[in-house]
Amino acid sequence: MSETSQNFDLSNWVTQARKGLLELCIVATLSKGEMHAYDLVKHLAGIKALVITEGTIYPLLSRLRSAGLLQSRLEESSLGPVRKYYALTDTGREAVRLMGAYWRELVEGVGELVESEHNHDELDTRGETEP
Amino acid sequence: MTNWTPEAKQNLDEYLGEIRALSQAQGDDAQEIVDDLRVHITTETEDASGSVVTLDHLRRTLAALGTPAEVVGGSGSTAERAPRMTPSAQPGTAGLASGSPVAQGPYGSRARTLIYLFALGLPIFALGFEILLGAMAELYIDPIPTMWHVAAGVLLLLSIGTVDHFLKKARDGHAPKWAGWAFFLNSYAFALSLVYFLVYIPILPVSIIALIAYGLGLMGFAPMACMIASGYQMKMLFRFLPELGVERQYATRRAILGSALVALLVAGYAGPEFVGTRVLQMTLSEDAATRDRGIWWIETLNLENELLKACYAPVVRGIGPTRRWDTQDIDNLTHYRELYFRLTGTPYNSVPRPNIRSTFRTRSVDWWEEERSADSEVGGTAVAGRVHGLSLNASHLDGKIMRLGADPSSPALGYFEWTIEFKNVSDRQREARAQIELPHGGVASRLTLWIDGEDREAAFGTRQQVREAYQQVAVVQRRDPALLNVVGPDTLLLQCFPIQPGSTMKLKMGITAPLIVRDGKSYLRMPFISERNFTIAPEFEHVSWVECDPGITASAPRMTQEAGARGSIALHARMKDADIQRGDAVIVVESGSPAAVRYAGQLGAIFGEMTTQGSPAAPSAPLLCVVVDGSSSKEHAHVDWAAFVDALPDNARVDAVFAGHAVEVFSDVPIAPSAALSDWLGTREYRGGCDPLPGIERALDIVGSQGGAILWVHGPLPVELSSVESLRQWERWHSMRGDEGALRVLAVEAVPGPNRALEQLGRSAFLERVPVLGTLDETLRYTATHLTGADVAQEYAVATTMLPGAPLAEGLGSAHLVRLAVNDEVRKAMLSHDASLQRETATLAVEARLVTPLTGAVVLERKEQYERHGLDPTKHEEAIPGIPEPEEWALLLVVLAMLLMVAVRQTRARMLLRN
Repeated sequence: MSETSQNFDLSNWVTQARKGLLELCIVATLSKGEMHAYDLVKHLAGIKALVITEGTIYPLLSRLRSAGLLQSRLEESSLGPVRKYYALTDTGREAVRLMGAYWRELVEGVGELVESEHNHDELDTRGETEP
Repeated sequence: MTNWTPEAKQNLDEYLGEIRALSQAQGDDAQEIVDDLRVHITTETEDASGSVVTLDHLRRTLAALGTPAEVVGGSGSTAERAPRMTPSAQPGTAGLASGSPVAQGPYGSRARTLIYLFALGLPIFALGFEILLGAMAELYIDPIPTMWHVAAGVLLLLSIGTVDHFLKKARDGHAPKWAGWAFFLNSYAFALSLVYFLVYIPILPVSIIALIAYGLGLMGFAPMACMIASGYQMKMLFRFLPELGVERQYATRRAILGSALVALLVAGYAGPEFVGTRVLQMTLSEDAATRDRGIWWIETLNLENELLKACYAPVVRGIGPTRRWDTQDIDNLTHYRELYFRLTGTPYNSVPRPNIRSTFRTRSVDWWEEERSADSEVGGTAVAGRVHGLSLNASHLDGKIMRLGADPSSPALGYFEWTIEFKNVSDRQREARAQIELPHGGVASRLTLWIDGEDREAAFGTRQQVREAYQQVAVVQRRDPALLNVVGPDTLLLQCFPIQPGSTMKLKMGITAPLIVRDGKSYLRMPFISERNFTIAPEFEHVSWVECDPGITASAPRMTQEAGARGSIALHARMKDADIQRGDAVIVVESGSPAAVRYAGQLGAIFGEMTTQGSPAAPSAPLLCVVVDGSSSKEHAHVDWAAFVDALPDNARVDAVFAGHAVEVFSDVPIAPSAALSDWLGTREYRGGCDPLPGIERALDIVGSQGGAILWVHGPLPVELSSVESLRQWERWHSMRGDEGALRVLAVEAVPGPNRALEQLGRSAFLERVPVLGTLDETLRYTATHLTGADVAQEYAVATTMLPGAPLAEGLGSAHLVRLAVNDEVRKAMLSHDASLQRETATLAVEARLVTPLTGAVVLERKEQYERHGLDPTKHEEAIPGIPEPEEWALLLVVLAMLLMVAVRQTRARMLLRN
């Protein structure tokens, strides 16, 4: 194990990388249609790689609504409390498009870098050098 | 409708309050966030909880939502919950959420390793080691004395393992099924290991020494390790309540259940012994009220078995593996033996020795018990308690009935040779002790012991001489003697020692007895064992063959008749021990009407004669007092008193005394016996074991000064409950007045067994034992008819007397007649209280080789031993000629028949050749 890896805090990097990603996940999920807040939270909490606590989604929903990306409506329920549904606004849909395009560009570019680094490591392991 | 507990409501408000504050600080729409979260929490918690939302339900929901800081801090705060990845972990996979998370956290791998090592590995190793090798049990004390201890230990370890599994699941975020039972198992494990820890405290120092000195003794530490581990698991279980999906109240209830189970097990296992010990100690109190309370508890809690255990020398102290046996004071032993009789009505040694073993292994506690229970009464004068491993292996009773004259009405005598074999399967030397009840008026005239396959005849000497010799050789030198002494009327005490471990000991007794004449018939009852310290298996049978002289017509209700040689008959039976004790185990000989005849006999230089009288002096009894033992024997309770009263003469005045726990008197004065008397006797409360002597004293008060008969219907009295001195005072008073015959105590044995009062009264002039021939009712009716002077026409008496020299009769009869005459002389000498006469008679009894109240018989191993004690062993030629066993004479007959056949065939063959 190298000295660099010992000092490197992976979890902190994961947190930083995840910043903003959660908002993309919310709008991307809602791009498929209106969704009950509770269901939306459960859906996102089920994505293990995100490592989120359910509670963190509600402030984000509130912020996205304040930013005009989302709109909400209330619906009475005979089984329990009033149900709140979230949906994308037009601005939200546009934001999804832009954010999606950026995400793909980011993945492609960063992906190439990561892939090339990965291949280099493999060649080193086999004792070969690139021309 | 779902209700929230106040704690849950308050906790929710606090949680949302914090979120509100944090949200406001960040400039978020705090109200909206709080509202959304409230809906989420409400939906999730109420779905999961049912009708009541408790704090635990809420905590589970909030655990999934995150802390207020995590919630409001947004995704950035999730770093706190994100796993710390090792370089080998793969990012972007589930490993981010679940990989190697809890090495140092609650119930981490370090804690689990310790549990596996010390709370599972150590006890399993120690338990297995101890079961296989029994090292600790050999060295000091058995830590796992019963299979129950092993089972409880295994269940304890399984509980710790199972709880570990539940906790691991909960720690990893999986709510296991049946999680509530984890609390039950954990509580069971903790409580049981706590109990074992407390019990093992005394052996911990020994364990430490054993560990240092021998590398053994780990077992002593196992409960402590299990207790610490299960205590830690308990703490973790309550910490992981939300993850386990169990609410606190439910968990607590399950935990209580586990502890209750342990309490129940401990109470069930050690409770009776613990309570029994305390209650038994109460009965020893000097305070009468405490003693009575103790007795009441014994009866109420049915602690008779605990009382029986206390009747034996070792007494249990402590519980579980640390229980030990202490030898208790002899006074306490006597007290418990008395108490057992008083409460049950049966002698403590008439039931099997209680099982006070507590281990499934051969040594250790068993071995201790054996050591402690070493028979401390070897060579003593009491039969005492049953000993382990000693049993009656064989019993052959060969008898012969001889008629003194050619006349069918002439009196007959019986002679038995009883061969007994004992077997010892224990690993200690044992002494066999037994009281033998002889036929009425019988005397032991031979004792033979087999030593190294050779039969050795006994030497006869004074009681003191033979007992000293026996004690010296048996108890001190531990060689092979046997002793036979008289302990009461018609009762012998047989002792032989040592019966080596894993071997047998065989001896033979010769018994001469007169036949009892009643209503034109003569009766001979079989001898039997009335008290013993060895076991007789329920299926064991005494084999008896009684041969009758030619011309004697005999029968026996419990025997089959076989044809013998020269027109004689033999009676044969295989009888269970209980059957041979019955009154109808009797041989009945047809006698016809007797005439006044004299018969003489010779035994060496001693001569005696027997006379018969057609009409003996009528034993008139103007006053009869019936004393009935109030002990709880069914024989006492089921006597047909109405038939007894009917058999009494019309003019008899009868009183009755019931000798129960209190003495009750029925006076039928001044009228004749009535149905009221039988009703009264039949309706008394026959309970426990009672002392008959106060009842006899009361009867003496009634008839004593006027003279009369006391009919004492008794059962066993295995302990001396009171003194016979007041009876002796009456005896002396009548003796001074010169009317010894005016007062008679007629003892009728309703239930066979030892009777200490009879033993003490054996030398009393006014005591007579009424032979029980047939059933008890028949005997009582007979006694009522004859012994009150109502009907004596059918009875005649047989008397034996000594002769100063050879009679001038043409022929001399059996030597057995002389033995009976000498025995009668001894009886008279005993009643005379004349010391010089007793010495002379004792010499005569030794010469006649008899076991009498003045003399005994002892078999020793070597000639020097006899000489050292001034004894002269009987030579083989001087011994009474043995009765050939039926197998022998049957074999002889077969051989004779075969020889005859061969002879006939040879004669025929010769004749054919000649022709």
